[in-house]
Amino acid sequence: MFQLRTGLYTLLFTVVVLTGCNRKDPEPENEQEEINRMEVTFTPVAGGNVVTFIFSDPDGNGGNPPTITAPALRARTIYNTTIALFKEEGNKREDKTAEIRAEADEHQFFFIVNPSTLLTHRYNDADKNNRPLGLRNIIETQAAGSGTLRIVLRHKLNKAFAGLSSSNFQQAGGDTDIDVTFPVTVQ
Amino acid sequence: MHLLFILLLTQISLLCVQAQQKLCNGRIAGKVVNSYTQQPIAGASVRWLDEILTTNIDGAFASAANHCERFAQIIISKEGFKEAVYTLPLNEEKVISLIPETLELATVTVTDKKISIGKATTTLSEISGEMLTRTQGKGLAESLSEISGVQVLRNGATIAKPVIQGLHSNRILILNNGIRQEGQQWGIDHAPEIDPFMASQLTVVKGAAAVQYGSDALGGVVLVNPPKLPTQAGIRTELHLQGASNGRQGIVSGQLSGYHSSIGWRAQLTGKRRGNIRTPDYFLANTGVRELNFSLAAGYRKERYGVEVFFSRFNTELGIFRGAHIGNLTDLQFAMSSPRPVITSDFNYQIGNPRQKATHNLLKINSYWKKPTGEWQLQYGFQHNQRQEFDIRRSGRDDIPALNLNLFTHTLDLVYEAGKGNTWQWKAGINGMAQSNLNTPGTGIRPLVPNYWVAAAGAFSMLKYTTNRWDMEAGIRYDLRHMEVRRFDRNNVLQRSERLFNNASATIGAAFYANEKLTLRTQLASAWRPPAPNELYSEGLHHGAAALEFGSDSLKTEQAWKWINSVQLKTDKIRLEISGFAQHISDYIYLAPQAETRLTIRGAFPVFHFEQTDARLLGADFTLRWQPVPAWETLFKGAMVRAKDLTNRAFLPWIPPDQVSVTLRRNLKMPSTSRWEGAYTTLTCLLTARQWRVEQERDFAPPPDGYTLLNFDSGIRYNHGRQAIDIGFSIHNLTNVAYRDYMNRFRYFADEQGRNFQLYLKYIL
Repeated sequence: MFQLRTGLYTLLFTVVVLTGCNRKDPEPENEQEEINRMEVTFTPVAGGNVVTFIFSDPDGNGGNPPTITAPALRARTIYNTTIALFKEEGNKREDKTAEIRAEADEHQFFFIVNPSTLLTHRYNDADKNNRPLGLRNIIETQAAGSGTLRIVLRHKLNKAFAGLSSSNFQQAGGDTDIDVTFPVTVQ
Repeated sequence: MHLLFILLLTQISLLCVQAQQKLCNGRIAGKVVNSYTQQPIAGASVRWLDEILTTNIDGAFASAANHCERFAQIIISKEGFKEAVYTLPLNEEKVISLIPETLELATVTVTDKKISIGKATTTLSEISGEMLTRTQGKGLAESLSEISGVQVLRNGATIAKPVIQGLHSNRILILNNGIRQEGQQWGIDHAPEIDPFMASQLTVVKGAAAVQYGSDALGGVVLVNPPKLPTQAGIRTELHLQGASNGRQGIVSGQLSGYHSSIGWRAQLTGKRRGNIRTPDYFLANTGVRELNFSLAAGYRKERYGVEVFFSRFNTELGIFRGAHIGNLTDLQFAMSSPRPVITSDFNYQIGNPRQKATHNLLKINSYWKKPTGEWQLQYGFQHNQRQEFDIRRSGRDDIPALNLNLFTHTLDLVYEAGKGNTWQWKAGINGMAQSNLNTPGTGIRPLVPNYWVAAAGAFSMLKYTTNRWDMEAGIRYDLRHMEVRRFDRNNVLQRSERLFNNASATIGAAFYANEKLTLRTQLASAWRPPAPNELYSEGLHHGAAALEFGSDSLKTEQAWKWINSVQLKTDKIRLEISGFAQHISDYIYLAPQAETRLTIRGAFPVFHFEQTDARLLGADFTLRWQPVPAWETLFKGAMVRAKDLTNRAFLPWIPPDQVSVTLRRNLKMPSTSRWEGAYTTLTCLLTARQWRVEQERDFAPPPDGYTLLNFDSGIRYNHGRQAIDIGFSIHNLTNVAYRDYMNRFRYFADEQGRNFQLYLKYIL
């Protein structure tokens, strides 16, 4: 038994040595599609302070929770609202918004407000089929209060779905690329 | 007048003398075999004029060598087989096949006491002949599920894996023509890359079988064996044509084999195409399949030695149901609450993303050398498995795979077997394996499993003791396995790690032949499985499963013990096989749900960690065939498995629910002068219970209700000289019932297949 064990070890060692010479290191993968930062910029139409909501999750699927910042919005104000998407890696920040814009006909952002009286939303851009995308929007705050704003980006959905809105977008199919909820304070 | 008379007499005398001097040393001889199983038929009667010969235990017969004729018309008959009339040339040995009258004889029964070592005390079931032809077109897992105790684990309609007595994936072993199938079998959505049309026999060994085969054989082993190369001159052709209505599937498979100056050869080709599957109410979008496979074999066989080369290539592209490609928890809940998938489709053959492409190349060279004392066998195998998975991506990356893996495996086996047919038989061997798993760069996604290299070696020894009533076997094995991994961690720093696994396995078993009718078998065996690459290194989103899975590189080897007992009863009207098993698996690796729900930019996902526990499986399965009269046959099959996570006192997930099936078969006797024969119709009722042995917190949705399926099958054979055509027609899910199966991972999203009409033709020349 001892001889057998030695014999096997020798065989194994030989195989490992013989095959070990050709082992090459892998190459790191550049995850071009990953998005881990979203900035929602509220610019008051009539002038005033710009408010930026930020969702940042640099470790992606890792255990560290994401950082969500959402400063207060002014009541009864109309904001031009734009969305920008980034991939953050270390100190590098790559803008990924252009990729979404380039495939506007396959993407759409949805804005779910709770309570629905807190804000009103209107799309302010369109894809080549004249359907909204949601990178540029107009949001009007109502009376003071608090609630949540959930922003969902759907990919490869059926944009021609009858009556497509923020309450039924799941029925239009597609995949969720972004699903972020911001706490909103209107004062 | 006188002269004429004398001349006539002389002529007649001359003729008489000539007749007496004519050579009369002709004899008829040959071998009678079962045309489906190729097993010799003993005790068949061969009638020639008024002479009756009987075949011996090897199916051989021979008359005295004192006949003057050049041809003999003989009638061969045996109870249970259709009588055959043959014209034999004298002094030539021919092989004559008899066609069984019933299903019973179309499969091999394992009661022959000359069973080779390693198979006598194991519980084996085989599929060949008519049963194989009927099910080959459905894929390997579906074919195997004809055996009680074997069930199917599905990922939608395009991916199916066999489950042997509760275990699947890398807890069972599949041998592709004697070579361990090395693909990415750890993946629950990776179907075995094997063409069932390559095989003439599928065998399932129920039992832990590490001693003979090495790691991974915890639940059992599937042996996929092609036909033996021909040893008689002449070219044999086999052609399969199959069509199915659901998915508008077409399969063509052809085979040519021949023999010339000691070399037998075979070439085989299969093509398969299918479009979207339909449930009773809607089409399942993107469930098409394409397959193109071929195999080539050639062998030089002499009495004492021989060498054989075999090459096969399997190539498939299959679509993943669009409605099952789910994002986050919210999406999953929405999909599960919808009575039907929101993504509708009509029929087409297009395969879009998400889809899988897999190719498997196998090269085998084996040789044998028979010496007076024993036989040496040397076998070399090389496999290349390439797997690409394409996902829904942005910016024109749809054609860049999200997963691109190449697995290269070399195996070398050296075995020595001695004492065949003696009281003591001995078998010993050494197995070596070298494997590398490489990610092809450029996917743009962190690899799911890292690059690794494995070198393994094992040595085993088995002993068999045979007496009149008993067979006893025992065996031991020792394995060593070295693995090196190179991967990038979260900070893109290269990490190298090595691990060494070692393991001892043992087996002991006995078979008791109480009488010709009853055989009892028992076997206690151990098996092991090192942790799989995904169990060690997963760290992220399992696409389409709405889950974050994390591995642990400190996982240990799984160790299992399986005790299996079986009873086999054969009377002239009844065939009964029952097997019961108990299995304990230490350090059983499973996905444990964690308390947290993790928030990412895509939304919330449940988190799972690969953990280890102790598991116990118990179960039983049976097959009962009853044929009260030749025209009627009934078949009962059933299986049940009880699995428990002992440490956490919980049920294990993905264990098949209890199933029972009842088949009624009517054999139609054709007139003996007719060229048509072997006509039958069957009606099968399959009952599947609801799997209530589940943990609510560990599953996304409650298990679906039990269901009843009705299947119809019929077949007939047409003979014309050397040619034969088998024609079959079957209907699966006759009543077009809408149901969901617990063992389908897509049961959260859609129903199972609706009614399916299938027609198959098998032509032999």
